[in-house]
Amino acid sequence: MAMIQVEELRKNYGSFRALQGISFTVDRGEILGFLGPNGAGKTTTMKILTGFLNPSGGRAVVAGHDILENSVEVRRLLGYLPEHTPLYEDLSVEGYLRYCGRLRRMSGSRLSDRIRAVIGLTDLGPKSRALIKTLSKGYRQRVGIAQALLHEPEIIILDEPTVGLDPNQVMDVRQLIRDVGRDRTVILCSHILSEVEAVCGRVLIVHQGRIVANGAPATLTSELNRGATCEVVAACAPERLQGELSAVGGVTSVEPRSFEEGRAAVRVRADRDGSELAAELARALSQQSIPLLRLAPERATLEDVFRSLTRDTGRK
Amino acid sequence: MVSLTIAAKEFKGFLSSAVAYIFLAAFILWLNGSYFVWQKLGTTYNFFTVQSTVLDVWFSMVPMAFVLLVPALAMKLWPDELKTGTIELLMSYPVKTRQIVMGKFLAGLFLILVGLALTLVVPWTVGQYGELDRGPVIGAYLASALVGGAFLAVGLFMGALCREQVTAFIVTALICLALVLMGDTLTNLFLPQSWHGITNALSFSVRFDDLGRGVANFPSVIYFLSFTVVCLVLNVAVVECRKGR
Repeated sequence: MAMIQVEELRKNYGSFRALQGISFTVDRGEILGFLGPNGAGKTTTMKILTGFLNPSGGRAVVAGHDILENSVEVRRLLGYLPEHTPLYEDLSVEGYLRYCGRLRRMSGSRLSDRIRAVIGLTDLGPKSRALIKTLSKGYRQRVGIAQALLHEPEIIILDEPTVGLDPNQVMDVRQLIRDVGRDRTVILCSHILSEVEAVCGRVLIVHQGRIVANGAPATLTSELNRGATCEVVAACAPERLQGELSAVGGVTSVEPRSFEEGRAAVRVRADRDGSELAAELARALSQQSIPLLRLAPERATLEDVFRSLTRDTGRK
Repeated sequence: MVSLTIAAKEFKGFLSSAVAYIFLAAFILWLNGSYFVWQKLGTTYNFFTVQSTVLDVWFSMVPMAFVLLVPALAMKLWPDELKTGTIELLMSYPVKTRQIVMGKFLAGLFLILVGLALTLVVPWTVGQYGELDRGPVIGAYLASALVGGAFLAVGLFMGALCREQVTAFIVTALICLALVLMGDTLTNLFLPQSWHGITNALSFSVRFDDLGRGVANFPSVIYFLSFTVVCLVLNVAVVECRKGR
């Protein structure tokens, strides 16, 4: 069953059309990456799902509840970390989490247990009595994550959760997201592609208020990887290298890249599988006894997918 | 319950900033201090022949004190939330907008009541000197709480509307001042006779004095209460409107 179902969601800010009808579903136990350049509509979508903004059109259903008709019920099931992590500066970490729990009608030992648990999960122990206004960006971020997990929500929406964290903390938070994502539904908004690739089972790419790609990271990159590219460096004259490689089956083009003393580099394109191509090229060169110095199959990354889909930044 | 949770948090917010202390100090200095000034002047120059008249004059200063102090109290409640963006997180919680508004209102009201409680020393002192007529004193305290609540509701509404502390403060103070100066207090000097009925009905000071006379004046109580409720409802509407469509 889909935990989140979004249909033709639209949002206008005055005459500016921030969302131009986006539809997607997220299943239980799925970690969905929400990618897009700045201003693509990621945060707007999250603000609509969490009840801060009303949509201009379309609808969204969370765990069977319409977000407009049954807003409070939806928000009961949600844990949300907004962009920029807005927190009450005058409260201590523990005081803040206690306040958050009370707002969610938690109390007594369950609340105390959960506060202890999320402080442990996010490694906030040493700062639990510090005032939030004295915390560094990394700690603030972790307080934001802690409040989102406090009530063990079915659905967790994290907008840029690792901004401001150091590399070790980034790894910890990613692992935390993977752990909670095992039996819950997570939407992770980010523009850090490696993060989404590392954590998410599926990726949505939003651009100019529309969804331009939807699929597993591997599926998205394989679109661009249809046909393979190899960089080849060998110790021989460039003409000879070009000639030999052009004869290999499936090769469509051989572009010279550079030439130094006794050393030629070319880029080979072929309409066949990448690893097969590399093997074929190596075999062809060894048959001619040409010393192979480097053979590097080039694979499209999620970054390439992202760039090819969102490069056109001029709004219509 | 949720409203009370929010109220408690907002009240602690007052205490952890200077606002609460400045509010209370100014309120007590202004009112308690002025009483003894009036009393001194009264006995020195024979302004007042009866003690209770001093108390009447003293009570009538409460609305003016509130004109300046309550907007200062209220201006913090919404603009902070809107400026830091904590409202976005708060609204992702299973909390209704009216509960948020109510929580903020209760926090401010409680501080106002604390301030009023600290002025009880004045009627108590009067009681020590001579016979204290309890009716008018109770009426005046009820009226003070109602006016304080109504000003607070204006301030909350303006805070949500203006989003900026200083703007909210000035606009609120001007509205409150207008409500106090309306009617026989000032504006009727410049308005035709036919308007006086309306301006006196709307005037906070005229209605405040009515209540202070100790007569159970239900229309005035209803007036202050409904004024407060209307402001709070408008406040909810403004916050809801921000969600856009």
